[in-house]
Amino acid sequence: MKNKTELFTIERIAKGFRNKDFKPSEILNLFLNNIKKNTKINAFIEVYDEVAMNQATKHDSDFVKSKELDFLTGIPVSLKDIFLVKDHKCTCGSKMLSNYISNYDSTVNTKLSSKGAIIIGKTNMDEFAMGSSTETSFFGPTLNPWDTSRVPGGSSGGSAASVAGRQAAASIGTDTGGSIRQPASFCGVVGLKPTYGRISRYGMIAFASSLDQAGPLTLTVNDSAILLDALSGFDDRDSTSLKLPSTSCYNSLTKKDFSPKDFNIGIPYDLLQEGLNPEIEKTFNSLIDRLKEMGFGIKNVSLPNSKFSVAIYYIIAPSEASSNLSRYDGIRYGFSDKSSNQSLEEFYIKNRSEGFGEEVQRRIMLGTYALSSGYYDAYYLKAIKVKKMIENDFIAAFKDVDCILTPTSPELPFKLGEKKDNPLSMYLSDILTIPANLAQLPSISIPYAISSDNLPIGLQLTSKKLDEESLLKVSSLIESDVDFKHID
Amino acid sequence: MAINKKEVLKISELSRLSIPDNKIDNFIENFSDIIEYIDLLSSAGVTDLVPEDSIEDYAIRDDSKIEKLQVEDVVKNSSKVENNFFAVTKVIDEE
Repeated sequence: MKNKTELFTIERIAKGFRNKDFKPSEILNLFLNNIKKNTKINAFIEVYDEVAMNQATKHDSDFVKSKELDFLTGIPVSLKDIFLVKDHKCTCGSKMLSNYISNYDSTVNTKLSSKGAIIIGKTNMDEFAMGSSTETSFFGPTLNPWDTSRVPGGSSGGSAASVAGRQAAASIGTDTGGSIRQPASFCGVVGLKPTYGRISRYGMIAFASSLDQAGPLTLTVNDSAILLDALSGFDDRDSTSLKLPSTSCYNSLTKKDFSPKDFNIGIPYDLLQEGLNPEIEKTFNSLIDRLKEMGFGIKNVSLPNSKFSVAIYYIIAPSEASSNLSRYDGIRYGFSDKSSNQSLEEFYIKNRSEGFGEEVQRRIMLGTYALSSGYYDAYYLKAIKVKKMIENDFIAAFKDVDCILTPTSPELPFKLGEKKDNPLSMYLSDILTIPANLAQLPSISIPYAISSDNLPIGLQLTSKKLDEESLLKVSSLIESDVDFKHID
Repeated sequence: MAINKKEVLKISELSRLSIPDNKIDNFIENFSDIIEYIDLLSSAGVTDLVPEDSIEDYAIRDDSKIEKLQVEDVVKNSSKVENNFFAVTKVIDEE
């Protein structure tokens, strides 16, 4: 089990526990050692070593007794530091919440824990999930395990780096405009954003509530299905939770009763006309040729309004954020200035100006601007209308195809600091991921190629609402054919 | 510039934020770039179509008793608490 090149996927670990190849405490130690050996990556804000080891030791004896155990028992999973875990800190990557202790558990944590998964720690993220590089964290940037001079993507960059760097078997992140898929692409792992409402948002700190969705980051498509099945399902504590039972995608995948001939894939060339990195464009075109050879039906589809996605997103998301983040006043919780002799108004301003970083402040102000009197119709109302047109474009496209394929990101992982002073250029890096959030669609990034500079390249598949099963089947077929080489 | 200093200061006041003097020019420049970009939306022709399969069936929860947090837990993250209440600076002057 010390073989570092062995891929410790959830499937492999679960099988190993049952075959008595190794114990939960040994597996946990392996991941904890990887965290200690490579702290430079800065994937974690907090590591739960002691609590996690206590749980693992308990599971050691459960496996000795050969109890009927859930598939996730003893699997070390990291959580983005946006999910509340009772009596532990939850910082959201912000100075504002750097000392905040959770009063209750997020549904994501409750579900994982009830199935025996071990939370190994909380991962780094862009502050309040606002960013595409994990550079805006109060706790310093996370580095890309493939090349530490580059960003891991964001905002779930710590989650992606923890999986790619073998510091957790899997991770749970959140995706508002691409925050699971883009870091998955940058770090060479699989990242799934399910249909909006599939996984409960209860106990997940809000950024833009109509777009936020939790999802897994894993080494394989099968692992992604395992976690989707475990986390999905109605939760009456989240008013936007879909009244549907949990998915059973993993069973469908393992039946292997499907082939490329069962699926049509659409390519939205109108969205891919400009701005693609030449190497990404080249590998993407070769991928399409290969998919044809495999037997997939390939069709051209049109998403004419998706070109407005980034503009719509930077109206809707900041508008919701300006409202959601108004709760941080430094009185009930959050950063609180200690100086005396100031009015309540001055106290609010001091707490918020010192507690929030620059990007968060920019987005609160953008939202306040878009919602302010005189601008509401031109910005927010118009954005909501064009968002509905984008949804309709997808509905029309899905009459002919099962999935829509694009690269996940138009660019390769960029250098740390490269875009820090140009927020607009950072925003544009999410141009291919945002449409799925606006249309509430399930969407996945899977690694499929490696660039000449040895950087991973991800492809993105998007399917119609609630059809995660087709999405994962197509992903699984492509994954088997690609045989992507993960880093050690 | 799509937005001037006076407007930015007004928005920061509404947002209960203050931008340091040495950062204001850079902030205005970036903010203007973003607003110019989102103004792209004005070129979108809008129809009033409603999506054909929009998920509207979200839960409206029945009123029912739910688990509550203990007051001591609720106030434990606060910087100033008196008798289990959040304490704030006096906002009403005494005559």
